[in-house]
Amino acid sequence: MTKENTTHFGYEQVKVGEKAERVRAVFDSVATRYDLMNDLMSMGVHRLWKRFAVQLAGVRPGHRVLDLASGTGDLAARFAGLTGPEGLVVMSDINAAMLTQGRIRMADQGLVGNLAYVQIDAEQIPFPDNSFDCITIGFGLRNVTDKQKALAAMYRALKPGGRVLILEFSQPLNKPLKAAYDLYSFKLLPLLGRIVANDEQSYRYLAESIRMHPNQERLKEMMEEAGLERCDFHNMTGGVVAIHRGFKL
Amino acid sequence: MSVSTLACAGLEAALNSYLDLDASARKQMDKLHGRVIAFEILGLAQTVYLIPGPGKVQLLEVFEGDPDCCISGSPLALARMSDRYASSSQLFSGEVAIRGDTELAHQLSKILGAMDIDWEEQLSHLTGDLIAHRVGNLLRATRDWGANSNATLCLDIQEYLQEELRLLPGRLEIEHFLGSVDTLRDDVERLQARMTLLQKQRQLDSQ
Repeated sequence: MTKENTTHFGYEQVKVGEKAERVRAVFDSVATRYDLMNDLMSMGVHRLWKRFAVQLAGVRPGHRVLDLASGTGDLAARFAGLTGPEGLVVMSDINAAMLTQGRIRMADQGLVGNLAYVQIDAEQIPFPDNSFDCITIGFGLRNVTDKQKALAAMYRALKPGGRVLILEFSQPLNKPLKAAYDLYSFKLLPLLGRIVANDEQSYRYLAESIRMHPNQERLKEMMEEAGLERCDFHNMTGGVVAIHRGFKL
Repeated sequence: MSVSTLACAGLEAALNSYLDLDASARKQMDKLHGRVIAFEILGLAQTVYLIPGPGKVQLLEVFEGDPDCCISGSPLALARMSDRYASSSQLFSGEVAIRGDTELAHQLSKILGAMDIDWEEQLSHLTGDLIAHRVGNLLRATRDWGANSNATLCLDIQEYLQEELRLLPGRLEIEHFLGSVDTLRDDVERLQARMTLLQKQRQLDSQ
């Protein structure tokens, strides 16, 4: 009797093929309140994390940037400002509801000239080899079923000299912070989810999926396995969030 | 998260709110999309990069490319660049230095200097047109009264000190005094010249 391939969906074990569907359901549910919840959950600090990520990305006028799991476009909006009218920012997401929210938001802000939208799976990036100066994924990698496959796809689509930037929740650096963080994630977040977005389950999944995500060192190793070089990471807010960066040389 | 990161983030938010108050300034700023202006803050050893974009200006501490122009100066001098009257005098006195595309720096300075915020319009979003206009009139009347009173007070003080207490001389008295000093100085120089001449004459005679 063969064991079916399973993977984690938060603390639950699900069939590999099912995970993407479950993640889609989560994001369909949270899409309309996503920005509000981000502000409430992180007390606005997520803006500073994203600023720092954008500074590490080294995007310049004329660059082509692929933003995976773009969602409501916080990172993409900044990149669109940095690449200038000659550059291009491709906003992509596997979830149509999130991508639609992103497109509405960008249009409302007047960002239309250098933005393109595609609904794609990060594991199968449908662009030619050596297409992008920078590929970023902000708070999306933990939702990808096969992270190694996604990292390999990013490596392939990157131009030589280009870089990958991964902004994601990670493991807190010390025990007291970890304890406080666990309390916050498992008690307060689902409650906030229930009150504001009427969806406790999705925010419980958020907390669980963070715990299942590889830690700082492990993710760095995975990036190196995908072929990225000079990989490093920066911890923020005591390791609650980490930015990993790797180059295609 | 360092203090400078927070300061930069705060300044970015403040600058965007400020630009949003004047639609034409925002539009002019949007046209600079794709350009990068660096501000080198002397004394703090910090460089901040201003990157205009559609609808929003970004202020970042790190930029890996080459900025189109670099404006360096002390924090106060840089802040005064937006004042159209002070900015050119600062440039010539060397307080602020510009490298690179000077036209871009000039454009930026013009955009900020030409900002004309219609405060009445902003208030009308909260209170409605009628009240905003009345408040506007009241503030303008108060400002004019203030300017008037200030000017009158200055004149009254001047008159009191000059005519009543006689602590300070009037303009005409000063001019007369200065004229007399100039005449005296010229007379002394003539006397000096005449004496030098006479001494030379005496030396020649005695030889």
